[in-house]
Amino acid sequence: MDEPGLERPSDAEVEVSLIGPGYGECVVIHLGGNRWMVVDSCLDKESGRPAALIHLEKMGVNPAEHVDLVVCTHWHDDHVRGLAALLSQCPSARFICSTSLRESAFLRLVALGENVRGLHGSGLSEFARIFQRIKTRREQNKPAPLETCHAGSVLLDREEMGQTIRVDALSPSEGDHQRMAEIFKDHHDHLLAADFRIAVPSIHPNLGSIVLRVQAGRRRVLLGADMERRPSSDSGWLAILESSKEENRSDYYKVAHHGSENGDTPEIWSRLLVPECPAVLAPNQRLANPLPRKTDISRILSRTSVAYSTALPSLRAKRIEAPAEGVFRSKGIRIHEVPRCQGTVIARANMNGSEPWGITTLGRAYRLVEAV
Amino acid sequence: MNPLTTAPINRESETLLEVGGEPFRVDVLIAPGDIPEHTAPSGGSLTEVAVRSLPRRIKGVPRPQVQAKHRSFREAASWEGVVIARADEGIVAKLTRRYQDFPAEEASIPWMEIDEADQPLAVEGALFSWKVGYLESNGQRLSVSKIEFRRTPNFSARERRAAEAKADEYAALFNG
Repeated sequence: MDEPGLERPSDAEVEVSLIGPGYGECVVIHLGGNRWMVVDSCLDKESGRPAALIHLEKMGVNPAEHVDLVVCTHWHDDHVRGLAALLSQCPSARFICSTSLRESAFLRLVALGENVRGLHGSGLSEFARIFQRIKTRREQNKPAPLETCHAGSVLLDREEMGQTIRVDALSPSEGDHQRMAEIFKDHHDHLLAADFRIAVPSIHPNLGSIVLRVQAGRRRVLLGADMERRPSSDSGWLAILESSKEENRSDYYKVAHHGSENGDTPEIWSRLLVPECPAVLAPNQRLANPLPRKTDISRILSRTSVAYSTALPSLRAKRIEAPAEGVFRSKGIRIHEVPRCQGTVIARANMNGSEPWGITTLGRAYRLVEAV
Repeated sequence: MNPLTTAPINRESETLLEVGGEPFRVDVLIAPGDIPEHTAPSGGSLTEVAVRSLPRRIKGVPRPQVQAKHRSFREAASWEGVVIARADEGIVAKLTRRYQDFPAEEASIPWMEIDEADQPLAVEGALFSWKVGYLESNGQRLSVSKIEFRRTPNFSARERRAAEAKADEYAALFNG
């Protein structure tokens, strides 16, 4: 409450906060009437706690009472960190993940990672914690909702303050669900066939991601997750565009896949979003070539001038404690760590759509036009 | 039959044992005849051996040289690592600091830092331990970086069954 920009929105306001610590992202949304939903999870740089919890606490919101939905768009480490801890503080929230994650091969990958020390990776260990928590709560006869969704699923549909509140899943398509089932199976078989023990490699692509459209009154928010552009019309963004109606265009966009070129297509902007739509992204600084790249920033700014990032996408060399530093220098070894550059972009507007979004940046967040 | 008591041992031959599926090398420290029989405690000959575990043999991958531990090694940092990419100049790895709950780091490690015998193991997903520090000997300090890839066998039948049972439990949660 003391920090600027963190006063709780009024009951009639919708608010979308994208939090990005440089690696990972989390979206906290006020649906009106002090009801909230959280999409994905990342860890706060300073405390190591789920960033969404800290954000809600700073506004005086009790997550145990006021969070209705927690959605995990996909299994990647940068979208699930701290999710189990978040769920433990939101016991009344429904937890929703992609239909693709019900696949037996995915569940076996999670189980293999849990049973064997040193096999953690790809965000799977977080799922092991989530499943264990759900199991424990159910054994105690406590509610622990676990749901899945796919393109066409309605996650929420109700009236709040006389306004329609609705959350739609736009993906994954049936075709992508099948593709992910095969990809999970390939990874599972590869893991078991290896001559020596290996970790579960990062599972790509991001076809199983859940893209969401959140409607609060006349506001529509498009959350692009890590969705990619694929050549097939029943896959990725093309499948979403195929089934979307133009009258449902959104006036806020959480940019897909950290602003990458393969997460974008001009039709997203022309058919799913209103002109000059505010667009917000969280960078991924852990990649060999961090996202977004300069060309990505230029491309996004060519779509809308109202574009923000939670942090700069740069890397810097990590300084190791003095004795080891000499070892690394003499051997040509380079170690990087994600710099402490967490930021939050908060967009707030009334539900009746009469005024543009008011946007506040916190921490290292900045407007993309400043980077050019 | 216990191979430790029946295998012929002498100072020249390299003796390899396999106990519980794990390979060991036996180095003879005191061989029969080194000490007069009448001075041995039992009145018989005395043999003293050092048994060192060996890295597991993997088809098509040579074993690295096993060296006695150097007691003057001073560790400056150590990590658990997983290879995320192979490149011409080396590997890119995700690291987790040992002994500390530290944020994961990433390192580019040249091939020359990895034992030639271990290089075929450095595939995506491969696990390794990495220690850096100094060897101190006669007033000299030598910087050391030691990378050891895991050669543990892949999943046992028991581990597979346990994972399948756990996966079934997870699947049931979706129906609850």
